[in-house]
Amino acid sequence: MENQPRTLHPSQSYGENEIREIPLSSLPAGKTGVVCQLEGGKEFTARVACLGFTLGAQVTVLQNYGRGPMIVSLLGAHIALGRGEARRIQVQPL
Amino acid sequence: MNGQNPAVTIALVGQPNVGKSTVFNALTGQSQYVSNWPGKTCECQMGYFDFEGETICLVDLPGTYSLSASSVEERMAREFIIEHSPDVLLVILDAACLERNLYLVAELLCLPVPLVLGINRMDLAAAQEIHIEPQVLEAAIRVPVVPLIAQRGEGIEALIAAALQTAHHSAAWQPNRPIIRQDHQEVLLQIEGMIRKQVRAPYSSDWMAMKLLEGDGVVTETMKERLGADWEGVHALLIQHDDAFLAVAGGRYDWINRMVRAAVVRPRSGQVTVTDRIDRYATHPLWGLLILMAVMAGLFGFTFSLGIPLQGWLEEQVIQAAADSVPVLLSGSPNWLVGLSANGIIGGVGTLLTLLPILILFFTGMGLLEGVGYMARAAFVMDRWMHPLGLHGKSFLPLSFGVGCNVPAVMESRIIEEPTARLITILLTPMVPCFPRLSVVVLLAPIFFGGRAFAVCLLLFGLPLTFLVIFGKAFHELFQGGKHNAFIMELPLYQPPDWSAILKSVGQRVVDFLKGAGSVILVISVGLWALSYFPGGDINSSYLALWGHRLDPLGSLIGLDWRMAVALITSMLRSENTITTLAVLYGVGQDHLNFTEALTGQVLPAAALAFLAMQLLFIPCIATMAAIRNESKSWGWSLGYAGLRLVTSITVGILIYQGSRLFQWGG
Repeated sequence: MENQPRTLHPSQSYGENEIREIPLSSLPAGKTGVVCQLEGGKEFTARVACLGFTLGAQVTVLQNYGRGPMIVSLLGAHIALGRGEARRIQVQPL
Repeated sequence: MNGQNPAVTIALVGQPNVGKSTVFNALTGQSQYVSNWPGKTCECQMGYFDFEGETICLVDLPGTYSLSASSVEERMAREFIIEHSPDVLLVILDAACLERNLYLVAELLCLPVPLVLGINRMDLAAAQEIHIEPQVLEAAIRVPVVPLIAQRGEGIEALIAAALQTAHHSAAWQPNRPIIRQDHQEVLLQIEGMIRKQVRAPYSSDWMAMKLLEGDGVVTETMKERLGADWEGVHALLIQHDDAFLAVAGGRYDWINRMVRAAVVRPRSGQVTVTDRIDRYATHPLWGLLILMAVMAGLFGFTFSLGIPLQGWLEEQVIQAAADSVPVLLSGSPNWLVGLSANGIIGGVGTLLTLLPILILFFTGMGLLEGVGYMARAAFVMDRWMHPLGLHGKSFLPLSFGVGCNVPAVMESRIIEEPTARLITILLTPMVPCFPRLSVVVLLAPIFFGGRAFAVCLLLFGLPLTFLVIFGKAFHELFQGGKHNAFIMELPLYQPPDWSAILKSVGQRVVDFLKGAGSVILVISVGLWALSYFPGGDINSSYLALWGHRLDPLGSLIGLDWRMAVALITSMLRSENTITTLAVLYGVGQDHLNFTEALTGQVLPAAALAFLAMQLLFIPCIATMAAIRNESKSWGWSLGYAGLRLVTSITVGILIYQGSRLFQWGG
């Protein structure tokens, strides 16, 4: 139960064709994605949801050097997050 | 509440770093009475001020991102609001990240206390080309919204006027509240119906039901207990909807988007701001590291180039003068009373006093880095390097500053929010040997090792750092099961520092240290003095020497005699004491022996090496121990830690001495 992925409600999915989902950690700097799934337990989900990583939220990557922590822009705020954390947030690139 | 009878109680709430304390200071600056709200976990400040003939009590609640039960601060804030029911809440928001800040408002609107919003740093937002129309937001949420530039005092009066107006007309308060996303509305009603009878005022059943869906630990435990057998049904529903938090948080952000849609205009994305330009370097993996090193060097330079001369001045002009005047003032009194006053009491007070310049300068420097927004970048840059110890980047600053002085370094660990990571940082920081400890080694090594002193020093300095890593790994496994806490942190916009807030917080922290650690330092100082004085009146025949002799069997394992053991124990008072104690015990000054001559040939190299290693690993000085106790709020951890250091130090001493002899070196 704990680790079941939390997916976007069917009524809220984007586009007709299934767009590919990638982890936020793979989104290069300058690109924007829409949060579509949060993995990794209730505690983690609650913490990131609180910060605005809710399903459907738009995230823009500001810094991603391929390793180490990254920086994203969300709701106008800059948020630093570890690569491990970013891997658990699935996005659909815009 | 100190006999004052306020007409209105206002609670100040907001997320961290929104300028809440600036508003608090601006309002209560002239106040005669500021104190901590009495409560077990509560460290919030309160102050009184008069406005248009009314006495107002202002309570500054801790900065919180939300009202979940995940941290002590958040629990405290929500319990205060619900149980003490202030007349009105003043919510301070940062204009530059209004949406994020409104999340807290979305939670607060579900509580039965009216609120007023103050949007702070309107000037900084305007500089970022973020345009906010307070009236439009006010019309959308249907609560008063006041624009602020708190640092210049702009808007503060209007804010208080709006708060009083709201407090006096709370019956008419009908805000636009957020609701849970549609797919979970039914289950929310269902749960509310199931728990309604067991919810007690002032808590409301819809709030409790929502918190259950959020998975709130405290509310879940409470309802489980009260519902008894009826809990099963609720529990089954909750398990079925264990993703409900997303619906609750999503509902809040949907509401936020509706509220700001017409009120906030942000610049097109792609706009490069000052913060972006600085961060291109400050958060770069290489440049960021170099900048951090430069900043740390600056902080060290600032603290010690000013602090050490000040310490020296205090030492000579104040403490020494006071100690010298004791025999004159107390002439005719028994010798022990003179000794107690001059060495025990003035020694203890002196330890506190000489720490003050370093504490004040260090906290000012740290406050400045925090205030301009750099601290979060330092943590970001160091994050990847701290992972092997199970820590995040934020722990780097306390650890690195440990080299200067362990006391403020341990106190700085409070920047880490997560309690376990904070405890680990508190316990690891004193593993970093401070300057005084290092200087003892630097001073003694040439006496024992002559030309090889430099190599010996390098070897020895690596020792505590090795143990830092070993302990770090061990604590990480023991306390966190090897798991990492999620590293997610907001990087605030860079901004000019608010000196009044920085200096006020420096003052608070120094007072906090003196209150918490002062008595401990004084008691141990007097105690150690008594042990080194009684019964004979000098250290050679004291209890300390007596016990030192008793330790001879242990000492012989390390090749040390009792004098070395006593020197280690007195080093707890102050690290430099090792030198002065050795000088007294080895009869420096008698027969015109100087320090080097007195010690030369007295100790075998193997034993000397063991001694210096032990000196670096021994129990930290009492000021550090007092800081550990003050920050961990636990005698158990503090004493346990002292025990760990003692055992480590003795074990390493034995290993070094016996090992060297085994390999026929220096025996």
